[in-house]
Amino acid sequence: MLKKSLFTILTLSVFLTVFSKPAFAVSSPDFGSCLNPQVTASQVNGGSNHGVAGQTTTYSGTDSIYYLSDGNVMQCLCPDSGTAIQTNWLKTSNLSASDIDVLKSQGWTYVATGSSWGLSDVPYLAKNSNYSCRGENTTPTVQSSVLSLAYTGSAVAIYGLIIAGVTALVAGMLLKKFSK
Amino acid sequence: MKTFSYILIIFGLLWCLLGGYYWWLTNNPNRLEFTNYSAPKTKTVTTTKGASLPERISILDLKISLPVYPAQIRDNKWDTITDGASYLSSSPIPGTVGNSIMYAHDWASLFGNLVYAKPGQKVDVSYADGSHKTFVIEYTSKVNPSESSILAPSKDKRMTLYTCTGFMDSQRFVVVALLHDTPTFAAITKP
Repeated sequence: MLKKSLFTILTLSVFLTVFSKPAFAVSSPDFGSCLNPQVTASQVNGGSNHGVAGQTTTYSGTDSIYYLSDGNVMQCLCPDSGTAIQTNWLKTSNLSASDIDVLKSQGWTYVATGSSWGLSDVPYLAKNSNYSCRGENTTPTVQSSVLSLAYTGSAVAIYGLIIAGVTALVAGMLLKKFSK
Repeated sequence: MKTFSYILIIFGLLWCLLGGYYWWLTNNPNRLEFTNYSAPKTKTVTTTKGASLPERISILDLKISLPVYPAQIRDNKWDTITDGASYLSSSPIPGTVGNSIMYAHDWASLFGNLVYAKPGQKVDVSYADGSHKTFVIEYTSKVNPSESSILAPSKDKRMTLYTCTGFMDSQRFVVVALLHDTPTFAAITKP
């Protein structure tokens, strides 16, 4: 009985740890990607004083603003360095306080008013993600040392798991046999 | 001692199962697909005038030089090949207006080095008629397979290249290269 319970608990805990994914009641809308915006930019601003929500750094480069049909905004900042930032601005007017809390736990930053960012004077949630663009100072150099390494993908992890599994299985069977 | 042996056997079985599952994921021909993407019904391969099919793609900075084969999405399954890059034949021919889509596995012999792509690098495409065009990488990004908007049509002449990346190939590394209107070189033909 004890063995059966132990077996079930162990199996369940490992299975749930590996395969379970968090389920969120609130999902953010699709903003699209700065790589291929599906609407025309409302503003394209150059200059050296671009800010990013949740950051104190200012950037020099090109800032493109895309107003989406549902009142949300996609901001694509391509700094001179080429390390670009996409900021998705989600209007909170249709969200409940609990929805906002859930989204905040998913990495969204609450911005009390969009007016200081050139947006409507309503609260927004903002989320940043990185991509690369061709900035003014981008140099398309490649580190040859990196390229010399073969790309192995997930092979090491996969074969490591299988080898560890077979080893544990054989060890367990031998141990069982000799502990009789 | 016996309890410990049972624990080892259980973990051994689970690890083997997990390893087998990930191996299947990695070798699943559909792992390069984007979800929520529906290809246009019309095929541009046979209808586009004045543009021949791409035959080879080269990114010298990344030591990539591969033959290109036309591919389709049949019943939501993306054709994948093991000896070159797949060109989604329902997308525009590279160099014409729109978003041309090419993809390949992240193997060292295919698009394994694509993850090292940097904006500004050049992508050369050779065509069946002997001509070639040079695209310049404009953007790179790591996205989820659900972000199919990167494959949406565009008004510029662009090529979207992608391969798998991330833990257990769970993400896609995307490279967007644009063709700026510069003179292209055609093959020298005898009069």
